[in-house]
Amino acid sequence: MNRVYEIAILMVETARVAARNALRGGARSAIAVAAIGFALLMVLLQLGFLNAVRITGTNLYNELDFDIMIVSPNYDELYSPGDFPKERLVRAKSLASVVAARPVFTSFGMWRCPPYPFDPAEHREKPLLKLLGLERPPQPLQRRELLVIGIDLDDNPFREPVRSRIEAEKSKLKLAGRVLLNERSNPEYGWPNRSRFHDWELNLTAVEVVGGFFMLRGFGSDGSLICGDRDFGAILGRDVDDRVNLGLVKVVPGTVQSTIKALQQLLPNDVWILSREEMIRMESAYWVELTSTGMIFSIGVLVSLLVATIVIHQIVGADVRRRLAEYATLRACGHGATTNHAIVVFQSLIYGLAAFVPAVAGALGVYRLTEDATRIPMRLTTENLAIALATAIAAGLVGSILALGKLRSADPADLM
Amino acid sequence: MNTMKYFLLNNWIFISEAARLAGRNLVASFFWLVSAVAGTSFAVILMMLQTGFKNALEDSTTSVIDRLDGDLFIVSKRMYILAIPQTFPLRRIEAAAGFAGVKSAYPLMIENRRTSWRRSGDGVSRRIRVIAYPPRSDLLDIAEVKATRDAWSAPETALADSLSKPHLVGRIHTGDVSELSRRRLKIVGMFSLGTDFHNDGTLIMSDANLLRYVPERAGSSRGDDRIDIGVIKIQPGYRIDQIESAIAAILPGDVRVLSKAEFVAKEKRFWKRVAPIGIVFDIGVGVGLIVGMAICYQVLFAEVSDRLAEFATMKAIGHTELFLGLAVVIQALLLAAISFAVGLAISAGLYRLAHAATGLPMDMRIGDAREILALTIGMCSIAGLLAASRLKTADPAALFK
Amino acid sequence: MLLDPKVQISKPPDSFDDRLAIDAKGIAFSFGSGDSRTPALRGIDLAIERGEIVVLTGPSGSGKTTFLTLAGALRSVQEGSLHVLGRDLSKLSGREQKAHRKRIGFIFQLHNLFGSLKAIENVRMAAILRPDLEGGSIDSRCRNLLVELGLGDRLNHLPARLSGGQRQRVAIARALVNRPELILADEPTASLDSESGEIVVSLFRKLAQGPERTTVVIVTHDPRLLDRADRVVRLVDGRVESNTRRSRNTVVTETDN
Ligand SMILES: Nc1ncnc2c1ncn2[C@@H]1O[C@H](COP(=O)(O)OP(=O)(O)OP(=O)(O)O)[C@@H](O)[C@H]1O
Ligand SMILES: [Mg+2]
Repeated sequence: MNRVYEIAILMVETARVAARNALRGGARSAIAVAAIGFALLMVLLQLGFLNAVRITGTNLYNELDFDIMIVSPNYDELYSPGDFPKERLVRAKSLASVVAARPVFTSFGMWRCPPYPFDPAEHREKPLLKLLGLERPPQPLQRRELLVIGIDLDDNPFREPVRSRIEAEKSKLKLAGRVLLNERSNPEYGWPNRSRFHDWELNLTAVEVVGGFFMLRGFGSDGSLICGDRDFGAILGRDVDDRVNLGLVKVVPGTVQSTIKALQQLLPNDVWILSREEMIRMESAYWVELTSTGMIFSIGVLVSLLVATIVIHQIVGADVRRRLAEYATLRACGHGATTNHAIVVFQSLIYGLAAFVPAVAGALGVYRLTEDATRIPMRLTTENLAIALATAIAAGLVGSILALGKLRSADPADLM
Repeated sequence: MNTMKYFLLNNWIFISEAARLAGRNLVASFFWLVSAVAGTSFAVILMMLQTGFKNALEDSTTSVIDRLDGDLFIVSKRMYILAIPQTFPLRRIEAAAGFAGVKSAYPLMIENRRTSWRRSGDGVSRRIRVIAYPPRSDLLDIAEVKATRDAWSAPETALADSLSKPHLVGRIHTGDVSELSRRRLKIVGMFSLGTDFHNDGTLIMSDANLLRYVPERAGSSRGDDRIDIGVIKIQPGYRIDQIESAIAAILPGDVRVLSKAEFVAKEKRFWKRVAPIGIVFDIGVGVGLIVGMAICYQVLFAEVSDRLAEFATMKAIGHTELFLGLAVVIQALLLAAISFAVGLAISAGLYRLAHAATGLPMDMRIGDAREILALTIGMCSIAGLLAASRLKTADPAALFK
Repeated sequence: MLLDPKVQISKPPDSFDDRLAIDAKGIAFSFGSGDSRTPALRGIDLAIERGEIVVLTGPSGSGKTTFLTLAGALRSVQEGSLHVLGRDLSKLSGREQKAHRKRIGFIFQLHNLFGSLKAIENVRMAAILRPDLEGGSIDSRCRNLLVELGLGDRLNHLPARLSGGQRQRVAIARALVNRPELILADEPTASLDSESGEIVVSLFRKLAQGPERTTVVIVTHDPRLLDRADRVVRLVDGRVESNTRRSRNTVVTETDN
């Protein structure tokens, strides 16, 4: 009990010294915190880019409601999924544990985009974007490719909130040539002008935008729309009664693994059966590890982590080295090495945290700017926050402990 | 005249003395030097890498167009980037071929949706881009491709890009026999072209061959075959722009005629406008610059602080802040030079690694290197000036105790 | 005491006198303001002639250093008038102060040498301020002075490879290389052994008696220096407690120690 008390006293005391060191450090502390902050901002930015790549692989699957996915063995990735006989889904439904087995059809289609600016008279300039050279240049009417998602309107495969948006427009969508456009599609696809532009076409077929839905955009496609399977078949020339791209299976809770086993026995090997987690993991892995975009941003993350580690290591190390005489005095006064170590641990914690807060705030700003300028979805995930914070603290700790190591090797006479 | 000479001599002494002090301070502490150079050079590396990626992004989108041996190009009116297939009937090229001044007009097809290559190792099929054209036309200006023309003229043969991504389309070697879209295909040679953000690997085969693998491209008659680009060569002595407008005038509205420069510009314009991912890398460079400035400022500030008493002594004996600031700024510039050299060397290695891993073109451009050198010098000298402002706090009166 | 306490200097002359190196009248100086105001000097009247070697002593906190910083134009006078080397310090602009300081050699208790520069280069840093001085090139001026201070074999050593006393002598060389008209030294011999201290004092003496008639003001508690001074001024609590002149003809010999 006494020992615990002693340790507690020591902790409080060392934390106080560390805080005082950091606070009284004046300009030097401020610069150190600023430099660490910028390093962390850089890490967060690169992590954000990489996360955008991950979103590319998960943006659709996150909105879809399934426990198990059935795909063709030729499945590459969401945008090249291959197809398999629809009959497999009918058979899957025969299992007692299967609640639903729904088809989803995907394809690229050519979309007729309205011109920009839609009405030159109303065109307003955005000064900041213009200054940065990011302003959207004028664009005549053109056709652009987007992802077309076909569903059975009576067996909605989406989760909330997309689900309700579809349900709300269901009766309209059932009429031929009606689609929902992704509100987050590149504005070139015309969502902002949906009420004024009426000459939409998908693959040369006139269609009407009856509403929107919300899905993050990735590097895979710039826009997306949802339509009924009848329209999908008619407009894109596919036999939706014969072959499907994705089979979404819902099961009785707790029976995912057993259903996968049962499905594997039940269905011929012209399909792949994956759990939701496997599917999402595989898709993210594809985008992050195998595509050029993923690789480039992975390298970016690695290099930024390396730079940040060096910077923080250097800064906190320099700070400790500056106070080496004080640490030496503490030891001379009879304190153990633990006291000094405890102080530097606290100090790197203080620096790490002090830099972390403005870095996160700055990152949010830069994320906003990036998303506005490049239309890449930039999201701050808790995982990435944790990585950045851990980097700050770990690099600071290593830096300061290495600097303290120098103290041990220092000849006390050198301090004279 | 004499006073001028005296002035110069006087200042020369100060400049050289400041430089000497800067140089000596730079190398005085090995630890300081290593950590300062490490921090600054990594900022340089970050900027270089981001610039390299940006170039890769831009260059890769036009790598095929750059290598097309032609003066004019016929493309579908709907084509907005090459990576998204938009075809037109072969007949349009035949119409152009008869023009006075046109030396030749050949069709080129690029298929990247319907062709999948079966990896020899595990039998997994992956999408692969196939570029197809008449072998004797030498449309792609790649030496290996021209040299092996006879070999890949045969049915069910193709050349493979040695820069294809091995982890996606597998390792492909000359002599490999596997399947393209479930039909036998033999690899009879290799070339190097590289990947881009849409394509992970490339095969080259004859146009006749591709129609076997992708029969959907074949029309009811040969004139209806669907092709992507018509490559036109002009006879010497004719003006390209005149023939361009003449051909454009007679061709129907479903196609357009572009010169090479227009073709490249169109592609680049699209990426710049619609998918300005390049901005991501500019932001990366910007953040690298700020981090570099912060670290540089931090090390120089510490340097000035550590020698504050010495600098104050210099002030006491009559040196100006300008002179001392000069020493700090020169030290910053020396740091910039060393860090740039170190960063450049390491980046060269990283470029090679990234090229090997992604197959993207990663080339260090002189212009970019110069730009980053300028940024490095700028970032270090601003940091140096900021650190030098700390000299104001050096109070010679505080030296007497 | 070796000094003759009886020889008191008469009242300092009322008007400015060009023979005087320092002419202080009613100098008062306080640090801080308001409640934290601490007076350091409370009215100093002191006249120091050119070519004099003056030792300033007194208890800690008595204002010795403060007086040096004022005389060296490192701080501005608050009250009273202070003429140094013929200039009224209260009338100098910042730029003129700087120019004025070039005529003064400062020796601080801490040597403050650039650790990255060799001994001779540290001296050079000061020497370049007066490239026009006679006595050879900048380098030879530096070298000769270091040789004179007994550092002929240490010219190219970094400060880290010199002893404390050697470092101090390099710092003194730096102060003397431009042949200042006035030398202000704060505890210059604290880290010197008696032999090096002797070398330094002899050099001061030589400069004082040379054609430039350099004036030397030394703050010290070192008794070895007291008997080498022409005059000993003792400050107590910001005031001159005693101002004792040794007779000029009493030359202390080596054996007198
Ligand atoms: N920078 C300062 N700020 C505030 N007060 C100061 C400052 N410097 C000196 N003082 C005060 O002024 C008074 C005179 O100080 P000074 O340094 O002149 O004494 P000193 O005679 O040189 O003492 P020592 O022999 O200890 O060096 C002291 O009371 C001191 O506390
Ligand atoms: Mg003092």
